[in-house]
Amino acid sequence: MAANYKGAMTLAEGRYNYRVDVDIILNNGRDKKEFVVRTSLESYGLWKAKYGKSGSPFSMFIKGTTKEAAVIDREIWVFGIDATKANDIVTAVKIGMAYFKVSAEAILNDVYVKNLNAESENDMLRQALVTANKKLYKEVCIAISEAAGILGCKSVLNFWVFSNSNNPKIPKDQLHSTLKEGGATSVSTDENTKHVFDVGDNFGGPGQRFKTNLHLAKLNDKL
Amino acid sequence: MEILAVWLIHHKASMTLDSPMNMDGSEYIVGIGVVPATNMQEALQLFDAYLKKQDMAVLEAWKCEQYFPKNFSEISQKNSDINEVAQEALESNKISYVCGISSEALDCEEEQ
Repeated sequence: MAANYKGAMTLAEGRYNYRVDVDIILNNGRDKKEFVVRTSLESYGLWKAKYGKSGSPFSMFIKGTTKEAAVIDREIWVFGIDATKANDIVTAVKIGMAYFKVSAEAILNDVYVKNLNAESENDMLRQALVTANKKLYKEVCIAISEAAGILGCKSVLNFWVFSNSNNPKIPKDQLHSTLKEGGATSVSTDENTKHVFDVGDNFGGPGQRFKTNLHLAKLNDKL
Repeated sequence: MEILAVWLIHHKASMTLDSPMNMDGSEYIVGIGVVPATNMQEALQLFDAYLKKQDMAVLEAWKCEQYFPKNFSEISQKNSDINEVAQEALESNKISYVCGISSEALDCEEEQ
């Protein structure tokens, strides 16, 4: 078992080029992660059709697991992972544990997500979308904590969320109250550092460029 | 017989909080509309209607050009995005949007 190696997990990844930067922390700091388990809701086939039309970046695939998983450098992508389901998260973590030979904590200690957004958003009025997105974030928080329980993680987990504080789809105060409803013992926002990212949509096209804030929720804190 | 082409409309468009594209509370976005149409005038009309549906409107347009792959053959992220979206627009006959930068993101990038 590789000791002291820090890793991270990401949820709801889309396009390869827009993958979440897992080294960013609060106040413009950087905390290098040695390995990453990235997860995508889509199956590999659908993911490739939506996001990887001109080819897939992966050089290796992991066989003999219940979910499709592909490898590039020190990163695994696990497909068909619904971030609101604890068992899906457990499966992804276990694939990462087996491949990188690390503990569950090393992967789950830092979980990143960028702009979660409910599907079929264009059919909803904005208030309905905010409500749907709140439900989504809350379910994800609960699923992460449950997964931590199943995997025997005792430590407090960092759940990092990239979302603009003025994001009309889930403004900061709503995001924070939702994360707390999902079990976060504290939530903070980096108000000083500005991040600009390309953000894809749920339909797979190249995204547009937006400003975003980083929020940190503490999960699995048994106090 | 009608021959369908793709038109690239380089523009700045207003956005509201109800615009589906808006993810940071921006007031406008600068980008390229990718519009399948039989001529430029039709493309501009279709694009206006497309934006209106999203609670957006053109504030300024500085170029409208017909898409030819050879004009975007130099390797860059921007060209690769334009090629991808233009090809899809041509096949699906659906309007799309590419290379957008929100006003909030523009402000940030100017500061940096």
